[in-house]
Amino acid sequence: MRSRLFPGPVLASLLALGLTAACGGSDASDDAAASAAAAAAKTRVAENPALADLVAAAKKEGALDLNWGLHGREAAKTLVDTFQKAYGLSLKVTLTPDQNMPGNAAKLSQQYKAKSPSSTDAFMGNAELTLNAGPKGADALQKVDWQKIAPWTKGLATSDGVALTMLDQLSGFTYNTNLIKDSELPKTARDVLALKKPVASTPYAAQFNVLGAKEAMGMDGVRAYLRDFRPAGYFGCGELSRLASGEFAALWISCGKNLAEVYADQGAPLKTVILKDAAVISPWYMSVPKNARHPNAAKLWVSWLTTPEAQKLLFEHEFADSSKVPGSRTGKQIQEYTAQGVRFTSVSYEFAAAHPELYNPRFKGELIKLLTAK
Amino acid sequence: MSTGTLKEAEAGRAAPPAPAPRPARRRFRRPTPTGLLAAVMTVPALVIVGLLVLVVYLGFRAQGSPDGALTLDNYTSLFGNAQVWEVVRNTVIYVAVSLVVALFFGTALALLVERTDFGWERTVNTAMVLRILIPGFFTAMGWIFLFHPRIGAVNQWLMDWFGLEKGPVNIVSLVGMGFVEGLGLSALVFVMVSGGLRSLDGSLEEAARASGAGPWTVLRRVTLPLVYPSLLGAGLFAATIAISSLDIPLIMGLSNRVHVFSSYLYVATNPSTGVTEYGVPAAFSGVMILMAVGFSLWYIRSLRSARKYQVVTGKGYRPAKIRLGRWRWAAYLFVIGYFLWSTVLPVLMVVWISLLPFVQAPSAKAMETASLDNYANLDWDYVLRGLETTVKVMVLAPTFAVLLSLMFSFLVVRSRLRLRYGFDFVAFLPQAVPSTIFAFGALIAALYWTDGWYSLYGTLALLVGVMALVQVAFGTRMFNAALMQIHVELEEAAAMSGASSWAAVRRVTLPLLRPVATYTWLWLALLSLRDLTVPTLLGSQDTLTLSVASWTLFNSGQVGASSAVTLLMICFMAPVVVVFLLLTRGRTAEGATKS
Amino acid sequence: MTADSRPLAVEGLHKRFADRNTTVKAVDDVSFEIREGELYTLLGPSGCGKTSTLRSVAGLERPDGGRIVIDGTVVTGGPADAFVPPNKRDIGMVFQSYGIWPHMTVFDNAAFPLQVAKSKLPKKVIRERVEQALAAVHLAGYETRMATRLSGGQQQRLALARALVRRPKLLLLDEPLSNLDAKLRQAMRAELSSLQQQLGITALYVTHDQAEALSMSSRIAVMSAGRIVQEGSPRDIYQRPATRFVADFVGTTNLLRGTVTGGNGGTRVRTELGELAAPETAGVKAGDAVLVAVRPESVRLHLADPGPAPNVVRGEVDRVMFVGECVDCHVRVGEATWVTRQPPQLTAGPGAEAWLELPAEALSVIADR
Repeated sequence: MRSRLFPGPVLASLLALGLTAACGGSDASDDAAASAAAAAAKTRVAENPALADLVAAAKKEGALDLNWGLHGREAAKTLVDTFQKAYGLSLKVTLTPDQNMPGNAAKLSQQYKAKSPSSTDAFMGNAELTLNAGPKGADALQKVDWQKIAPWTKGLATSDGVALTMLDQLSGFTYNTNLIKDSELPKTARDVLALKKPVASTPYAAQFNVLGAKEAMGMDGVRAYLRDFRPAGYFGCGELSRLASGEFAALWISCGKNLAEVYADQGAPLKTVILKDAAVISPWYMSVPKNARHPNAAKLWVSWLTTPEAQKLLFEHEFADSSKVPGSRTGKQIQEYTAQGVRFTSVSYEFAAAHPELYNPRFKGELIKLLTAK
Repeated sequence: MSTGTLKEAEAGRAAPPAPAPRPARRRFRRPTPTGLLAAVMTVPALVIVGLLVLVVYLGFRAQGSPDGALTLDNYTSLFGNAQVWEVVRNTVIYVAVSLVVALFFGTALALLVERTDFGWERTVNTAMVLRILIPGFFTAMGWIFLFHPRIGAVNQWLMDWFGLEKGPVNIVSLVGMGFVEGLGLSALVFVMVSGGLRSLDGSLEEAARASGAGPWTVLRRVTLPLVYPSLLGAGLFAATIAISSLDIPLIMGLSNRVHVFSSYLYVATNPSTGVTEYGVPAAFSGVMILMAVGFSLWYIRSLRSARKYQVVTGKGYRPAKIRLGRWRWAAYLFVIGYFLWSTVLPVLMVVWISLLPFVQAPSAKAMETASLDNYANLDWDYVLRGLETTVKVMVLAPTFAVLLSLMFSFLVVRSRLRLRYGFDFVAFLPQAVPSTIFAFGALIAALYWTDGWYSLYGTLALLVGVMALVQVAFGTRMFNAALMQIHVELEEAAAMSGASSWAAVRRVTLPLLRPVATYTWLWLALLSLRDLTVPTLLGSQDTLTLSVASWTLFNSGQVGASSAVTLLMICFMAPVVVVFLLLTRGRTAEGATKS
Repeated sequence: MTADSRPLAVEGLHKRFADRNTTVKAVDDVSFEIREGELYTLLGPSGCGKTSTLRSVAGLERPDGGRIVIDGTVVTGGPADAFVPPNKRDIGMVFQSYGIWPHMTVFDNAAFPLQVAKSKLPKKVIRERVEQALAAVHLAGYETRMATRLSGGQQQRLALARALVRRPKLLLLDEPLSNLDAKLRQAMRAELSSLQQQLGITALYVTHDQAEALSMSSRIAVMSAGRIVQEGSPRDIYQRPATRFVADFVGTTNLLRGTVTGGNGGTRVRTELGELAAPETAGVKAGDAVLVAVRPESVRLHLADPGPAPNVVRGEVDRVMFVGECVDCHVRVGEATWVTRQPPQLTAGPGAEAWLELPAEALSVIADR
């Protein structure tokens, strides 16, 4: 009885549309970006024999497996395609848009412990996950001399050379513009508590732990805050559709304002405000697992992502880039917010290494309990 | 003074008791076919038991890692945590509501189709099978749009009409979750109960009618008690699926502060630190396994006593159908309502969402943004990869499961080994233990104890193997019942005609089992297609199934793309299923229980 | 002819079943032989071990002890402790439920034994032999019909055709007629019997129906509690039951307790109804407690005093039951009620005086243990 809902012609045209689109591919601006990237890459390869060797080695590997979930529509695919064109590669890329970063991290350390090959050749993670997978944790990540193969990464690698920064997410209060008027918008974390709207949070108390830093709320401050905060429900940072649909009015803390911008780009009534006393910059890092099956292709890929061409594409599709790369637009946004009096806590790899107490599972567990079990 | 007054069952007839120990003078003999079969089947049986033992063992290891320190901490933190008790309470309520809903709708529909003159038998059967194609997360989504206290359309209308402050129905509650899950499981109950009804000797019910009992009394006093084994089995099966299913608890529960077992495990095993913490989940699973073993023992015992008076004629005799008369309109209302709410609306919801750039409740304004972009922008590499794995899994897992189940059932029903009850019990375990636990055990075992050329981690073989083992429970239930209905004399007649054991099985038993086998295969294939639990836990990049692909997209906010994938999946599978049902017409639904 | 060259010889067969904590002896030291062309019947009530014996012969069950020889081949037991699987024994079998395969046509059912045979037969030969077999059981022309669309009697005959089609040395019949209605059963009895004689088949027949056993068998073995209690021709079994069990089980019998007083060209038994003369009986001597058995049809009923005659007992008509070809006249004699069978013209009604004459040659004396 269901098949009557899809008369044959409609189904056929649906399929046809999908198929042509699959072959059609990217638009003109992406093509231009690709040729620019190719030109830039050509120059870099010519200047650097180590990079040339890496390209050759990557070609030999012939494949790249990525558990790599960006939010922008086509973001991951466009980047991968441009990367291939830039270095003239024809790698067999297996792309799984899995955004469960903690899950991927857990899988990685498990696979490494069990001496199985990693299911992803490049690992994307925030500071905490990268730190835990790196030498201080599961030790599953390769130390790479990034500057040797990619001189442009100067200042972008973590101090131990394990990972390269890729983009910065700015955490804030993401809301549905139909449900919350500008006049009602909170300016500080305390204002959120006073808001009489269904405000959701993440089930894993994302970002609250880092607000425990002394320069932000302090550990006791966060505890006290969460005692007073009773969310209307929980969903993950990636599920902003729950906000767009109006099921919830806001997500606090949402992982990145860029995620809401991805939705807004499609017409969703979503916006993010950065709260003065609870602003977090969360860099995302790329690294190469020791048990990667295609380590050279992975190194080439990870280092390419920090090139200005790649960063530009990242901002176009994902609405975020790395503030450390010259010309960063996210960096510019940060400057503007700071000028407005927003105090950011930047939770970099080094920050995470220096504040183990904030990442202590017990502390995080305590916060999760305060947030969820009321 | 006449013959035939001795009523005791003649020893050594259809179901002979185990033989007395043989005198010791017996010398070594060539292994019998059943002995050989028993030896072969020990392997899968040990795997099932081994996986469960492993999970229990991991509960006593720090962080649930095989190389962690021996500890009792997992159990102390499990029982010391007040939240766990809340989770247990929630899970009980949620499962109870699911069961009531699933059993009510499944049984009512089965009775309507099998015992009344309602008609539409084939249509209802087909629709019930097709129902299983809709992923639970979309059903959940659809119900949220209908009955969410804030955005549910029905709630909003009710609020407008009656000037209410709040939406009167709250679907995002424990009861609501149970209801939605139960609706999904009612298809399963329908299949199992209608199978039971078909194999029932209709004269028993006619005898009750002839004794002056009304239809309602016959149902309550005769029919339902006689299909009790089917009901019990269906209930148990539905309960474990409800416990291990993750989508509805995440979408409807977690987002509204309601934790049940599966979402609790999900949050506990997915800590944001990226460090695996399987200790407490393993301990929790250990407790569940213990309960499941106890439950299985009870089930098998009560089933055995139920079988004592279960009358199977094998003649497929059905009693005269109850005439609905002027109640026919009520039956129509019930059936149409059921399909409308459980099938049509969720599918419409999927269609709706697949046309939108982001999720919006149905409205004229949202309609303006509708387009086919989601289809146009699909990553076809990704979808085709999912399709390929799904097709492989759908073919391999059920085939493997049907073979294993057949062999298990042969041992259990036809052999006289003492161990046969052991085999039956082991084959039943996957029905009582949530598949999450099997998948978890298999994950650890594959990670730590297979490597090099026999590495199983992330392979299709592992995925198929675990799915098949989990499905053995369903398969053996079907084949046990079917084999019991094939009179032993049909096989003995083949032996007496000079056929070897294998020839007898091949030429007589298997052809007779074929309807049940095809039907079981189809069901298992559909369950494989739909399964999220095992593929998410065991899957890797190489073994991404379509349902996982859709779920991954759903989870990463790309709900439009996810619904597009789901619709493609439904469009692809629905014709396959219908063609399958047509080809096996009269041999599947009809013949599933006939001998 | 030695025992081993007979179509079937069973020696010292034992079969036990564990039932909860006790062991039930289903077959307890059973031995018998069947001669060429004979229809040998195991007769007994449910649970007497007849079916276990038959199934042991078929090889469907493995006995715990004893030897079974089919046509000179030791199929079970013996010095080598052999066990030939059922499909390698030269036998055919008809099951109580017929065991007709519902997924095959009539032809396929009957052809199956030839199709699975070790030595492959040409299709044409198979066709001929199946047609012969089907013709023998009056099923010619039904070849293409699905087996499930046959009537009960036809299915029964098809089962017979299937059992005979490969011309086995021995035919086993397990209560083959018990699922038929009374009239059909009677017809099949005759048909089966004549077919067996025509084809000269040697058969082992298991039944609990004494009429079937008496009418069809060459010889009968009456079984009770796993043992053969009496073996003999139908006439022997009926007229000279060796034990009270046989007398009771086979037909209807009037029994009278008594003591042997002596014998002179016959046996004299003192009973509470007076002294009766009976034929000479081996194994009883003066002073032994015995039972005197007499069949209802042997009793002569007099409505008037026949005068002084031997073996006459006086009673009173209790009830007269008309059964068509005769009447069963129940007569109260002392404390007991005797059944007598009389011509349908009998006019006596309840309460009438009656004299029962028990012809000496119709009495059997059974040791009362």
